[in-house]
Amino acid sequence: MNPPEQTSEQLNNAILVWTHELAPHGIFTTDKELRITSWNHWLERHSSMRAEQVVGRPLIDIIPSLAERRLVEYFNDALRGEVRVLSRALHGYLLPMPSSGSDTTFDRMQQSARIAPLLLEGQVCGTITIVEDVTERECQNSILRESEERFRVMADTVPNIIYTAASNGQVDFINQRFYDVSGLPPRSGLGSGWLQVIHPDDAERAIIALEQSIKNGNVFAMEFRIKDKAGQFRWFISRAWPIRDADNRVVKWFGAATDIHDLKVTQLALASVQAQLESHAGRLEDTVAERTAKLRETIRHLESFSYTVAHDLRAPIRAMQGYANILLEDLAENLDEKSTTILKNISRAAKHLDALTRDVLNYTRVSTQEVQLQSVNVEELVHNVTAMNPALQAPHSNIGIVRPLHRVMAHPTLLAQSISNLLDNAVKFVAPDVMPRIVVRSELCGDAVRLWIEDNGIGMEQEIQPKIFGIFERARAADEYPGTGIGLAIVARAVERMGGACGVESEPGKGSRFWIQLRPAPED
Amino acid sequence: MSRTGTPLNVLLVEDLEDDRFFFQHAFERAGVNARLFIAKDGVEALDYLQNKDHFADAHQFPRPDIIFLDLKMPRRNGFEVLQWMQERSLLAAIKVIILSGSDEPTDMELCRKLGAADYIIKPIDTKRIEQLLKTDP
Amino acid sequence: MELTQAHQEALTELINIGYGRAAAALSELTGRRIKLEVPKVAVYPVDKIGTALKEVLSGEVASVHQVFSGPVSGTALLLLDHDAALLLNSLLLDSPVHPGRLRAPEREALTEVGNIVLNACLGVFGNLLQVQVTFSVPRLNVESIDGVMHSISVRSQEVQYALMVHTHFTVRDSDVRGYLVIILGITSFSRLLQELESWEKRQLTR
Repeated sequence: MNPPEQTSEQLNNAILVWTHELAPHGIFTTDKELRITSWNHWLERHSSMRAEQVVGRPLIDIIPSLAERRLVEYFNDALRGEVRVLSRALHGYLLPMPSSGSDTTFDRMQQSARIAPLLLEGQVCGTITIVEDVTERECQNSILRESEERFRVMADTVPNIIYTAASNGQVDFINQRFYDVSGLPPRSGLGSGWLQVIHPDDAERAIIALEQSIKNGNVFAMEFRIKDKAGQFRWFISRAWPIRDADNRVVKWFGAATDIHDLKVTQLALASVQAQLESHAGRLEDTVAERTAKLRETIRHLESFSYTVAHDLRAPIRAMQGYANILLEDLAENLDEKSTTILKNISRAAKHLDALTRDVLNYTRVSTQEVQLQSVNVEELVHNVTAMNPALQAPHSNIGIVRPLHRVMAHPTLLAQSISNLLDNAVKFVAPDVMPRIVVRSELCGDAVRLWIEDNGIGMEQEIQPKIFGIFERARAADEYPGTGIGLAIVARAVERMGGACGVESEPGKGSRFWIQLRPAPED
Repeated sequence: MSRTGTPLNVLLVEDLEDDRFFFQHAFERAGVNARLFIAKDGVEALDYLQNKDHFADAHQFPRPDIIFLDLKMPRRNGFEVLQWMQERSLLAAIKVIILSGSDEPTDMELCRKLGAADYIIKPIDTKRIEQLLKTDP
Repeated sequence: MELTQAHQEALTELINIGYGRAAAALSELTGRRIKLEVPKVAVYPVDKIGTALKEVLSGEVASVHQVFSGPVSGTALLLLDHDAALLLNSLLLDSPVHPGRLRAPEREALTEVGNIVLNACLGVFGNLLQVQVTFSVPRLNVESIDGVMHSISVRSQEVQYALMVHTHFTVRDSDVRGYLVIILGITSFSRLLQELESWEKRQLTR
């Protein structure tokens, strides 16, 4: 027997009936006056109202809360042709129904709904509404949110910066600590936003390391500097671990960054100290090398003629003096006056010989020394000379300097020797019991500087003045005023070698005024 | 450092016989509680300090508490001895007094730089030796 | 077809009326102060709308998609990029933003928001044109711009134009940017502009 031919209407009816029975959602329809025209099996079950009880009655009678909650408007919108979506998030539910299942999170069934116009041949003839039970979904979501909240609390409590990123490395979560440290506004660290507070020198490295990790799925580990609220950079170490799915593909990154600034600063300080030590060691080596060079120079000097001669000539002279003195000291009681006198004479002669030798050597040195002229601070030189010779200091003498003393072009050693000799003379040639008073001053004479050494000594006659600078020339007898007679010759020779001149003005009993003339040093 | 009772060890480094004589003379006259040891030039000085060769017996030639060092000597001069000692921390602590015929300021300066404690121009007298050795350590 | 300055101003004003209603509805639903504004409107031939959207949206976008039919027919979309969608959601529902994709409850809420905004906008257009249109059930998709373009491809004889409305959501002190796109055939579009001009004139004579 052939089944009867179906019309599309019959087919639709069949579908409708089964939909009514089987649909896992609530479906109801109304007419244009919002009277219920159908009520499916699901609704019967969950509302405890059978279709016969509700069909034909106004919607707002069956569900009064719709009017109270002003949801009737949506049905009116639908009558005008609009489709309305009611999300659970914004409404909670459409039809008040008890919550299914054992979960007590919600006391009412959570629902989402759609209200649409019901069209018959293009004309709106009523509304159709579908209600979905989303309680289970919401429970799950609630659990998920709780878990997220716990994670957030934990993430915001730990002292580290905690972050998560999608598989492509874009950060989708950073905890509060990051914002506390960087001072950035909330959410600004997401995506690649966190890079803006990384030190520019570290940022490039970070990006490269990041790309590597994403490519290979390796743990990301890096030290970099983050700019804090005060604009200072602090060192952090950041590590991120990949989280994989069942197919071993990376689906997420989970990372933490820790402040290691103090540790890093110490490390860097240590490294710097190490470097300093190494450089210091290097400098020490240099110093030793320098000293060795100086030593060699000294040895050369030691081996120079005048030095050797000075040493070797004066040693035996010293010996003579020494032995004579020993005899004088040790045998004092055993010696008669004559013997004592003789020994004293020996000692004195030796002393004189020593002085002569020394002065002759000085003269030689002055003659042979390589002379390079330089700008000399005369004040300093005079000071040094007097400092080294007790006879030129109080209480033995009184040397006054009229400042300033012009700087001159001279050879320091030669000029020092000259001044020393002139001062020695000035101090020596005074009347007995007279305190030597010497004035040192300088003046500009044309384009030369004249350095005057003026004393309150015994002075000298006119005739002897021109000869006084000759070698072995003496103004006075040796027994009156001991001296080698070479001192002034040295001065003259030294001054000559420096391209200058010297002279004296003197009157017996009125002191002497010795002068040295040299080129002035150019102004700085 | 020597405690009162223990004699000081004094090392004289001097190449000239006369100068050695004068030092010893003054030393004896000073009558201080010290023993005098002699090195005749720079090389002997180094040997003494290392207890090498002739000076191998450390008992006979003990470490000096104070050294009187001449500058101008053959083989190794006083400057070289000073520098050598400075490079060895244990020896750098020994007090060195330069005893030289030279009154050159450059010599004095260099000796000071090389760590000499004092610089005396020859000859040294009894009084000075007394001063130096009695106040030591 | 270009919009004149006058058209732009009139359209903006008109859409603002619709947005005002949508904002009121959203404010009432969420209990928050919500503002909707139109900083800019522009028209593009439908094959150029993809490029225009890519200039302002990147990555994945959430789109609420509603088809309307009747005397005037076309497609309406509300587009937000994924982050903006998450943010808008959290602002409206006063919940913290979670990292990751949009979840079902969020998709649902966004669909409703899109629904409200699109209905309001199309409503004012419908009033202007004095037609009654019917709407399809709105759908939400999360896909790339190219995906969106693909799903709206209209098979029609007519040349299609896309009206792009820059939309500014302000919730409390935060704001979110979205884009409303309405695609119409040239006939409907011309009519719209005509009616718009009349409407403008009527506004001025008041």
